[in-house]
Amino acid sequence: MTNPYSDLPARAFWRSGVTLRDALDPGDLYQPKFAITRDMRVMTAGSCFAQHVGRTLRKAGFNVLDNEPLPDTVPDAVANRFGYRLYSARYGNIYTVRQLMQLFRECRGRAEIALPVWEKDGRFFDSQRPSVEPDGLDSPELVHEHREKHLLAVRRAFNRCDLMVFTLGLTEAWIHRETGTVYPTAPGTIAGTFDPEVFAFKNYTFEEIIRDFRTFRAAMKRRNPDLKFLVTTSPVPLTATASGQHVEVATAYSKATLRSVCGALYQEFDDVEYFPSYEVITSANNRMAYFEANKRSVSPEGVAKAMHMFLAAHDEEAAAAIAPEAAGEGAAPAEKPAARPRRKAGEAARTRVGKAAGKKAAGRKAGGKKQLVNAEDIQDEICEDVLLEAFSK
Amino acid sequence: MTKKVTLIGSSHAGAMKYGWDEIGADHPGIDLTYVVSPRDVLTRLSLTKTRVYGAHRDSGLSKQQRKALEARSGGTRFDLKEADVVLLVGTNPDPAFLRHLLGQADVDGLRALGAPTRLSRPAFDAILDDYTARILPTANWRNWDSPQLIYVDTPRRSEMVLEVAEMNRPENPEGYAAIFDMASDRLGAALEAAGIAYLAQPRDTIAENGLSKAEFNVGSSRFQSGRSHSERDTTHMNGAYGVRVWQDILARIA
Repeated sequence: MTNPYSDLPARAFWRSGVTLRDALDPGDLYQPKFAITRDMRVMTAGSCFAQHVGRTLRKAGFNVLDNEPLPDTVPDAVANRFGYRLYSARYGNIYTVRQLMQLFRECRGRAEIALPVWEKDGRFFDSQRPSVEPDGLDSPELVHEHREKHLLAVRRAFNRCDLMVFTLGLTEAWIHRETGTVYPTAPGTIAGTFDPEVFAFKNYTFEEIIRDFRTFRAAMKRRNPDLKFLVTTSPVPLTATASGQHVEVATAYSKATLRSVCGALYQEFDDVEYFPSYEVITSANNRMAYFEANKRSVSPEGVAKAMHMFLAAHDEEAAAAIAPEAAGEGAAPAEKPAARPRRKAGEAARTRVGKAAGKKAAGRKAGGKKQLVNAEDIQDEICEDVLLEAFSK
Repeated sequence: MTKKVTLIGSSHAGAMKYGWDEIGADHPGIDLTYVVSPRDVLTRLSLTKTRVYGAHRDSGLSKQQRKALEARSGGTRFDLKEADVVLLVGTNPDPAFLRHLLGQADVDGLRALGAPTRLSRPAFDAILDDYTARILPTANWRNWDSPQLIYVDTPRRSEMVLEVAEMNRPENPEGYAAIFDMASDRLGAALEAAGIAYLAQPRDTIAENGLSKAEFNVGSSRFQSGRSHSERDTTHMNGAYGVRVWQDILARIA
C-alpha cells in the first residue's frame, strides 16, 4: 500500500464516484448494514418524506404495520385525507425526534400534553395531530376519546415492531413554554391560537436531538432487544423559518444538523441504519433534477429513484421486478445482495460506476415484469406546509 | 298495452324471478326479459352511448362466459331503447363494503364496539360519499328520457347472519340500522341527481337491527338452476322478497 487511499474502491473518490457518473444515476450510495426482510414488522413515522418509505415497502409486500386500518377499497385519497395509511398509526407527520419521544412517553402514561385540544371556528382539534381531522371534531371530549383510542394503536405499534423507520424532518418546532410540550404545527395555523406568552419557538440542537433519539432507542430496546432502526433525513427544504435567519441558511442548519444526527447514530449503533435518500435527492450530480419548479418539493421521479435504490438493496425479488424506467434512466443495478456487512476501508469495490452501470441498467429494461416504484404512482405526500406558511414573508 | 321491462341484474335477480313467478300471471301487460349474470361477469358488461348493453369488444369475457350469458339471457348484447322500463337489480359492485368497513371501524355516535379503528363523523361521511360515487352507474346510464330506468337497491344481509357467525366471528349489528339508512339515503340522492330513479329496499322487509328480516331470506334459490342457496347464505332473498319489491316497482311503472 503506497498510501491509505490507494486500495479504496471507485466509490470512495469524487471523480469516479460522482464526476464520471451519469447525472441521473444515483450510484452506489447505499450499502445496508443489515437485511430488511418481508417478515419484519415495520413501523414508520417522521416527516412527510417518510410516507414514501412506508408506501413503497407496503406496495412491495413488506409487513408495514397499520394499526388503524381501513378496508382496501377505501381509496388512498380519502384515507390519507384523514391521516389513514400514511404511517403505522394515525399520528400524522412527526417532524422532530422530541415529538416522537413525547408520543412514546405519552403512550406509557409518562407524558401529559399541555393544551391537548385546539379550537378553530367552533371545531376541535388534537393539538398533536391537527391535520388528521381537517374538519375538526364536535367537542373537546370527542378529541380526548379519539386520542385515547389512537394511543392504544400507537402503543401496539411500538410494542410489536421489529424495525422502526423514522425520517428526521425539522429542527424547528413550537413548544409550550411552561411544560416543554412540543407540537407538530404552529399554534394558530391549522387550529389553536398563537400566544407568545404561552408558546415559544424552539430550534433543536444536535446535542438535544441525538440525546432524544438515544433515549428513545434505549426505551424501545428494553422492550425488544432485537429491534432495529432505519433513519433518513428529509431532503425537503423548510418552507419558512421562524429563526430570524434567511430560509436558505436556516434550511442548511436544519438539514446539516439532522444529517449529522443520522450519521452519528449510524456510527454509534450497529442496529441503526441510515438510508441516504437525502443524498439521492440533493446530490450535486443530478443538478436539482429531483426538485419541482419551486426548488423545494421533491419530484415523483426523485422519490422513485430513492425508493428504487432502497428496494434494490433489500429485496432481490422486488428489485428484479422493477423496470429501470420506474426510477428513470441509469437506475441502480438490481443484482446487489439483500444485505451486506458494513464494508471496511480498503475492501475491493463491487460497484460499477459511471456509464457502465447505466448501460447495464438500460439492458434490463425489457426484462422488467412489474413496477413497484413508478414515478407516476408516487402520490403527493401530505405535508403540513401550513405549519410554517404563517410565518413566511 | 304491453310494457316491455328489461331486468338487468346479478344473483339477486333470483328473488325477483321467483317473486314474478308468483305474481306474473296477474300482470299480463308486462313483458319481462332477464339479463342476468354473476357479479364477475356483470362488472364487465357495459352500456354504449346508444344504450346497447352487454358484452362489448372490451369486455374481456371468455368464450365460455359469453356462451353462458347467451344461454341465460338469449343474447350477449341488448338494445335497451327497445324497452319501456329498465331495472337495475343488485348491480352494486361492492355490496359488502359497509360490513367490511364496520368490521374494522367504529363510528362516532353510531357504533362503539372497540374496533381497531375509530372513525369520526366527517371521516365516515367522506368514506360514504366516496362509496356512493363508486357504486353509481356510469355516465351512459344517466338522465334518460326513455326508457324509464329504476335502480333497485341491493338487499341488506339477512339477520340470520347474526346466528351464522361467518368466518367464525359473531357479528354485532350495533348501528347498522342508522348506518345502512344513511347509505341508502345518500345513494338515493346521488341517483336522483343523476337522473336515475331509486327504489330503496322496502321498509317492511328490514328488521329493527337494520338487517333484512330472516323471513325474506330463508329458502332463497339460484336464478338459473332453481337450486336452493346454502342454509348459511345470508345474502340472497327469496321469492316473498321478490313479490314485495315487485309491488313497489309495479306501483312506479304503472
